[in-house]
Formats: sequence, structure tokens, C-alpha cells
Amino acid sequence: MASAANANLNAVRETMDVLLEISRLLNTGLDMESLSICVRLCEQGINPEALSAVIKELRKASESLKAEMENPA
Amino acid sequence: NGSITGLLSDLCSCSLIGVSWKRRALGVSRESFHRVLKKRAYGALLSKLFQDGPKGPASGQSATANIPPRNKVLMMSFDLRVAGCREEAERLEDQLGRLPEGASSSGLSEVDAVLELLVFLAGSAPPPPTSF
Repeated sequence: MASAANANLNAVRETMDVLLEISRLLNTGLDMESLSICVRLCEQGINPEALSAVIKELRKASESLKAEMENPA
Repeated sequence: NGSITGLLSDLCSCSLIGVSWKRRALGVSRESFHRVLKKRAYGALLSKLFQDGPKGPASGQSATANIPPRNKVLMMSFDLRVAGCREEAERLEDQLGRLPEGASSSGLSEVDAVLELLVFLAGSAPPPPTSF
């Protein structure tokens, strides 16, 4: 039982490493933490296109905040 | 928290990494901005979900909508080769070959959905700085 769980954990880890490398090569801007969250959201049934729109929206919002923080009017 | 709301909240927190909250000139707290981010995240998510109509060429779906995500990555690899990035293209194909198919071998139930997400986000980050 424990060895089956370990094998599954290893499979998940290896798959995540491959996905992170593909993500890096495609220049998606996702780090391991964000990618892990996205994987879990996809596993919950969130549509990938909708999730990509969420990520782009969050980037836009946080970039504008960072710019405002650096150059307050 | 593994719920969708908890995961979206975690995604908002990730977006705030690197924002300095030392300067309070704007009068914005981390908590209030986190709330703003959550609102925008739900707005983007819901607007996209409500756009989902019947699929097919007649409904204006893109011609690539039905292509399997692995093939879309191969198409991107081809584009990289055409652009002269042979090493990256080979690495991409190599990684794609290493990606297990099916939940039992990958340990994940939605590998293709994640791959589809990566395709949608491809090129969305600023290019890495080139070293001389």
C-alpha cells in the first residue's frame, strides 16, 4: 500500500518536472508554485482557456500595482 | 485548501509576490489588493465560462480548437525550428516525449488540460534576458 503511494508520488513529481520544463520552454511565466495550483485547478475541472484568462488578468493587475508602488502619483 | 475558491485565492497570493508593501503611499493594504485580485480573477473566469457556447466551426470556434494539445505543442516546436531555435525545439519535443499519457502513469488526471493551459499561456511572459 505504502509503496503504491510512493510510486504515485514519484510519478506526480516526475510529471510536474516535465510540465515545468515545457512551461519554461514555452515562456509561460509560471513558476512551480503557480503551476502546481494550476494543475490542481485543472484537476477540479476548470477550463484551461478560462484559467489562462485568469492568470493574464492577475498579471495585468499586479503589474499595474507594482508600477504604481514604484512611481506613486 | 484544495477547493476551487481556495486555489484561486492561492493564485492571487502568488501574483503578489515581489510587490513591496513597505510604501503605504497609495493607502493600499495587501489584504485589500488581494480582494481586488480575487474579484478580477472571478470576473475573468466567469466571463470566459459564459462565452462557452456550442462547439464547431459554425459557432466561430478557431480551427485549432479540436487539435490535441500534444499536437499543438509539436506545432510550436516547429515554429521554434523555423525561427532558428533548434535546441529549444528539440528540448521541447524531448520533454513532450517524456510526458506520460494517462492518469495511471502520470499520477495526474488532467495532464492534457494542463498542457492546453501551457499552450494558451505560451509566450505570455516577457522573454528571458539574453546574456552576452
